[in-house]
Amino acid sequence: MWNKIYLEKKLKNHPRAEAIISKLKLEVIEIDDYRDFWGKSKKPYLLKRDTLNLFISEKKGQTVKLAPDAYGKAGEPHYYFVHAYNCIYECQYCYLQGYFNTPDIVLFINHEEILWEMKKVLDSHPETSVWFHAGEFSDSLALTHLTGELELYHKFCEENPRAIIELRTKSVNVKALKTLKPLDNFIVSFSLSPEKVARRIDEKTPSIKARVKVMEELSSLGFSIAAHFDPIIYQDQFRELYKDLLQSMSNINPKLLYLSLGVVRFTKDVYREVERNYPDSLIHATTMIKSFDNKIRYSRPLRNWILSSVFDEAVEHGVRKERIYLCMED
Amino acid sequence: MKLITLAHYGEAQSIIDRFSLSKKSSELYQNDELTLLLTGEGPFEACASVSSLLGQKNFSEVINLGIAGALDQKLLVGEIFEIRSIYLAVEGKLQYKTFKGAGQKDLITSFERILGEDKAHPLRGFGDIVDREAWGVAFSCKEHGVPFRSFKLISDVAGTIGACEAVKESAQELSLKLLAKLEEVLGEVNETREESFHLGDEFYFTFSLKHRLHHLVEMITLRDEITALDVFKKIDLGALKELNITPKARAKLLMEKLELELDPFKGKLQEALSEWKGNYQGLDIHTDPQWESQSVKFSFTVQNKNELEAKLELLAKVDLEPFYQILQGKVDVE
Repeated sequence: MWNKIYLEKKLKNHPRAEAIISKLKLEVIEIDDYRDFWGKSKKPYLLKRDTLNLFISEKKGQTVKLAPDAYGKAGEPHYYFVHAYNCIYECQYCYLQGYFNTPDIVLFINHEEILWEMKKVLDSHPETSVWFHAGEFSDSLALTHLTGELELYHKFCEENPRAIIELRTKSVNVKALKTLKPLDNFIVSFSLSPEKVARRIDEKTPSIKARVKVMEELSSLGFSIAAHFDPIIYQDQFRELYKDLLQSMSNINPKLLYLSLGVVRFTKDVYREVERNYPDSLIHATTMIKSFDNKIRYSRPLRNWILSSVFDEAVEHGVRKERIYLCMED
Repeated sequence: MKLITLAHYGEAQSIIDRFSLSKKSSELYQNDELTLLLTGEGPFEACASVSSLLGQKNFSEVINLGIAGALDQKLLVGEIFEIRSIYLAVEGKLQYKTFKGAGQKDLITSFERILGEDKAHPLRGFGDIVDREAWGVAFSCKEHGVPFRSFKLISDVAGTIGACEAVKESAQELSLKLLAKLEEVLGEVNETREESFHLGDEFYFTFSLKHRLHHLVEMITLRDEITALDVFKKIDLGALKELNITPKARAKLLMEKLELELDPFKGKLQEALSEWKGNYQGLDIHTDPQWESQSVKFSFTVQNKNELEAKLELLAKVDLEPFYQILQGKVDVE
């Protein structure tokens, strides 16, 4: 999978850069600025399968950004922080395939600056809790064995109880996480689909069985856990498949801090990429239309039916009603 | 007619001899099936010369052949590869536009010759091979909508001193290898992926209906991971053939069955909508066929005042709530 490491020269002796390089043992190419190479040319997305480059860099500019509407639970401000671009997994619906010009991964290692900006944001909302989501542009746990930044963000939550960090993941890479003390405001959320669907569309990700097992482990250790059924993809016997998924989660459903539901949707550009990259995908088996906001979605009655069906099943299987929210839906 | 492009005569000489291409100009050689163009060195030179020719003549495909330097040091001199993606580098910096091919290796077309390791090193994460023309040829083909393939023969290691001399010395040998590859490519049998359905004379499809038929069958095969034959078994094609109706009507029925098989939810929606509309006989009710908008349009025709009053009375009784319930997905599906 990995091809070369591109390292910004000024980070040559940075302990985090050294740690990553020593673990991967790849050829290192020193450059001045990752932006001279990363995304400069349109690199076909599927080249990530065998020529994925890793850039080690410092994030310049804004590192903490306001999340879009309906990104998380309503009522409190939501932000996401950027400590990486792109992902090692290959989910066929992933919007990253149409978002950047390249699938190459960037790891930003100036975490102190990111945390400093998070503190500034937190202080600008003195009356309320503030959510910080990791995983907007990458999986937030998949590479933590290389990057080793979890401890810093955990400490930030410990010192700032009003800050809530959500680590969104499809990974089962929780070794580093398990060495930390569980905190109410340090949440690990797992994206899940029925096994039969995930096997067809979540390429290179851990199985659903493995993800659910890890959720159980973390929950029993006292970690705050949550789940995302997003995107939900329609398929024959869809309701039965979600019943089975929820059944397999029966030990953790009552403990879920929240469960978000979202039906598959694409911007026009991402949809075009999905068609190009995965012409035989299950995603194309159900008719999609241009919807009210120009996004490509299932028809309105179908997506409403999907959401209400999964909502009902989730409640039936022990998820607390008030903890279910609809993500990025009209 | 296929167009073969190479940069220099030295690379092309064996091909010109083998196919007995006659010289039309210093850059152009031809027989009844092939045209060979010498593009000269450099991406913009290649782009200009190929564009000029594609503007004058129609070609079914352009095949770019040539020697190239290895960026990936594991590649061996003498190996030949079809190209998968082509980047352009100007002064060592990658440019935005990239072209895709069906091959195995990634190529960087460099605006300048890569004469030192310092120039080659930063490009190694993006390409396995470096040349001077392919990007320009690909650009021109894309602009003219002509299919393009590129094959590169490793002649040296990019960034090594003396690479140019080494290439000159073995030009004859390299040219023979390029010829062998071209012969192999031209001899390939084109296999078409399209599966045709021979449903017999019992069905009549227009061109667009046939296209839709293929699309529906393909979507069901995708979803259920079954073959087209299984799809037809599932909807009982045999029973359809037994019906005493015209081939056109039979085809229509087949399409309806396939639509329903693919999207049973849509069938339920239509049923519920028809039931609601049925309560208002005499009014034409139009809703968004995409089911996205909640707008409803009513129309009717009247012959006299009494009819008008009756229709207005009916219109006043219209209850939109059942329609909104359908939009909310509140239909009995299972």
